[in-house]
Amino acid sequence: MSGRTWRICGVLALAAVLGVPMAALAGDAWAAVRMSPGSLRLAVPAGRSLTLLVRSCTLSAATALLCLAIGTAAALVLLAVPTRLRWLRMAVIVPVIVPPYLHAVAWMRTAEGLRVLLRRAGLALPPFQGFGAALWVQVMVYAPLMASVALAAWSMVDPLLVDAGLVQGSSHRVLRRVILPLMLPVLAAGTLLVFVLCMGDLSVPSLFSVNTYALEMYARFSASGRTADVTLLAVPVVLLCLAALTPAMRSLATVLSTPSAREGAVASAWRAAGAVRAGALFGAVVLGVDAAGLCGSLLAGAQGATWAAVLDALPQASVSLRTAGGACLVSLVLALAAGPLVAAGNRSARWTAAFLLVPLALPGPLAGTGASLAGVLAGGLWKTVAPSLLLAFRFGPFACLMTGARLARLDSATTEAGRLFERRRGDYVRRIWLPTLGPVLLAALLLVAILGIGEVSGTLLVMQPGQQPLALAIYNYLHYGGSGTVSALCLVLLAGLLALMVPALFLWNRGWRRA
Amino acid sequence: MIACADIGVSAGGRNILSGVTLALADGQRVVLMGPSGAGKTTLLRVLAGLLAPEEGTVTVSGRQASVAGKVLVPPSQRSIGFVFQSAALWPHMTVAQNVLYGLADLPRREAQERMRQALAACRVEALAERLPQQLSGGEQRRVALARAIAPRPRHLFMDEPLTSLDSDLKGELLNLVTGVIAADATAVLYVTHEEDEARAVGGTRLYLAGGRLGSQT
Repeated sequence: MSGRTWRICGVLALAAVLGVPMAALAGDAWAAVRMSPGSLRLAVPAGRSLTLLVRSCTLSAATALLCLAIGTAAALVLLAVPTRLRWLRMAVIVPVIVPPYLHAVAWMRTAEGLRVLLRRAGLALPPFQGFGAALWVQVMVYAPLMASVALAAWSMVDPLLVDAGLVQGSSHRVLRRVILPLMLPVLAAGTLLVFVLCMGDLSVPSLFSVNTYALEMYARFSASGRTADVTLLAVPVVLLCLAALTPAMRSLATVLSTPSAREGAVASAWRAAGAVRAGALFGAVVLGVDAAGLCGSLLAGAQGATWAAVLDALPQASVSLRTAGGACLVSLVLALAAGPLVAAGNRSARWTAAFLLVPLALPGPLAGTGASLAGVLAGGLWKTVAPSLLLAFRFGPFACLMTGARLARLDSATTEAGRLFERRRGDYVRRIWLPTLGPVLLAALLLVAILGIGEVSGTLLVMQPGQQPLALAIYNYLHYGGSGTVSALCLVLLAGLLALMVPALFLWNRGWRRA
Repeated sequence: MIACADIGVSAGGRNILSGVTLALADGQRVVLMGPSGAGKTTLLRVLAGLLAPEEGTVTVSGRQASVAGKVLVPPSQRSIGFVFQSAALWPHMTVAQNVLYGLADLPRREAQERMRQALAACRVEALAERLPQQLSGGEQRRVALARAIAPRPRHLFMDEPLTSLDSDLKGELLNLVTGVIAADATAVLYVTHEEDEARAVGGTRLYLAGGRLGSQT
C-alpha cells in the first residue's frame, strides 16, 4: 500500500471512530442552540454549575499537586533501590492499573476498620466521607502514576549532568538547580495529566458524596436524556482539559520518543540527603501504605467472597473481555492507520496529534453521551458495538500516540536498509517492521484493554441491559451493598488486570530496548 | 594532594580497577593513558568521589576521603574541577549560569568577576548569555573548561576533553588547555589515549591497562 493510500486510510479511520461521536455531539448542541439560543447559557458556568466547576477544579488541582509531591518524593527513594530489590519499584507502582473505585473500596474498608479499632479505644473518628476522603483516595489513585512519571523523567536526565553538579555543589543544590529543573517539563506534564483524569472521573467523588461537575453531567443526562445540555455543560471542562493536555502531551511525546539517558550509562552518584531524604522516605511510605492497604483490604474483604460469587462473576468478566477485546481491535486499526500520521513530524502530524487530544479531554460522561448519541443516529448494530467503540474512542488515542512515538524513533536508515535488502515479498514486514513495532503496539493495546476494563464513567451510559461488565457491576454494587459479591468481583477484575499488565510491561521494555 | 591506594572496582564480575595506587601532588601534571575500557574514567570517578571504591582508600590533603564502599568527603568538598568527556553543560542554564554554579559560595560581585575571568581565559566571554544548545561543539568544550577552572580548584581532572573533535579544532583547544594549565599551579590529571595530547600536556605519564596501573617509558 502506498504512503498516500495509507494516509487516506488513517484519516478515514480517525474520522469514523473519533470524529463521528464528536461531530454528533457538536451537531446536536448546535441544533439545540439554534432552536433555543438561551441554552447557550449552559456553556457559561454560573450559580450552581460555577460552584461545581470550582469544586471540581479544586479537587483535581489539589490531587494533582499532592500527587506531584508524593510521587516525586517516592521516586527519589525508588531510584536508590539496589538492583536486587528492583521488584519493589513494581510493587509500589502496580496500583496504577487499579481503577479508582477499587482504591475507594479499599480505603473505605481500611477507614472502617480503623474506626472500629479507635471506637474500642474510646476514640471517635468522623465518617470517611466528603471532600477530604475523596481527595485522599484520589491522591492514592494517582500518586503511583506520578511516581512512574517521575521515574521516567529521571531516566531522561543525563547522569553526567548530575555528576558535573556534584563536583561543584551539595546534594541539595544539585537537586534544586540541576535535577528538578531538568525533570520539570515531564513532571509538569504528569501533573496536568492527573488534573485532566480527575476532572473527567465521577466514580470516586460519587462514592464519597462529593458533587462534582462530571457527576452533574451524568446526572443531567440520566434525568433528562438531553444530550445537547450535557455537551454545552461540558464546554468549560473540555476547554480547561484541552489547555492542560496540550503542553502535557507535548512533553510526554518527548519522553516517548527520547531514549533513556541512562541506558548503558553509568549511574549518577547523587543521593538524597538530610531533609530531602526524609521527605522522599515519607513519599515512598505513603505509596507503600497505599499498595499494602489495597492488597490487605481486598484480601480481607475476599474472605466474605464465596466461590459461588466468583463463578457468578464470570459472565460479567466475559462481557468485560469481549468489550475490551473489541476496543483493542478498533484501536489496532486506529494505531496502524494514525501512528504514521503522528510520526510524520510535519504540520499534519501536529493536527493529527491535536485531534487525538480531544477525546482525551472529554470527561467520561460526555464521551458516553457522544457514543450514545451516535448510537441513536446509527441504530441497530451500533448498540452491540457501542461499548467497544466508546472505549476505543476514549483510550485508542493513547495507542495512536504510543505507536506514533515509536515510529518517530525508528531509524529511517534501518527501515530503508530493510526494504533495500528485502529478497522475498513480506520479509521487510515480517523481519523488520513487526519485531521493532510489534511489542510497543501490543503493549499499547494491552494498555487500552487495562483502561477499558476498568472504565465506568462512559460505559454507564451505553451498556445494554443484561450486558453488564465487571467494572459496572462493582460500581453498582458499591452503591447498593453486597460486599461479599463486590470482593469476588474485585478479585476477578484485579486478576484480569494483572494478567494483562505483566505482558504489557514486558513487551513495552522489550520494544523500547530494540529502539 | 589527592591520592589513592590499592583501589579495586569491579562490575558485572569483571575487575575494572585492581590495586591501583596513584598520587597527584599539588601543581603536578599526570597524563593517564590507556585503551578504551581500561578503567581510566572509573579511576577519575573514584578520585573525585563520584564512585565509592570496593577496595582501597582515597585521601585528599592527607584526610581520608573514600574508603571501601563509602564516600566520606563529598565531591564538592574535594576542590576538584572536572572536565567530562562530553561537555556535560546544563542545558537549562546559560553559559554564565553554568560557570556561576560552582561559585555560589563567593560574594555575588566576586563570583561575577571570577566568571568573567574564566570565560575570558577560555575565550568565550561573548557567549555568556547563550544556552549550551546554541553553541558549537568546540565552544561547548571551552565553556566546560571555563566552568571547571572558575572556582580555582586545587585539582583539575580532564577526561578525554578533546575527544571527537576535528583535528584543527583539537589543535586549537589543546593550545588553550595547555595555556590554562600553565597559568595556574593546579594539579592536573589528564586522561587521553592520544599521543599528541599527552605530549602537549607533559608531566608524568601513567598507563592503565586491564585495571592495573603502570608507568610508560
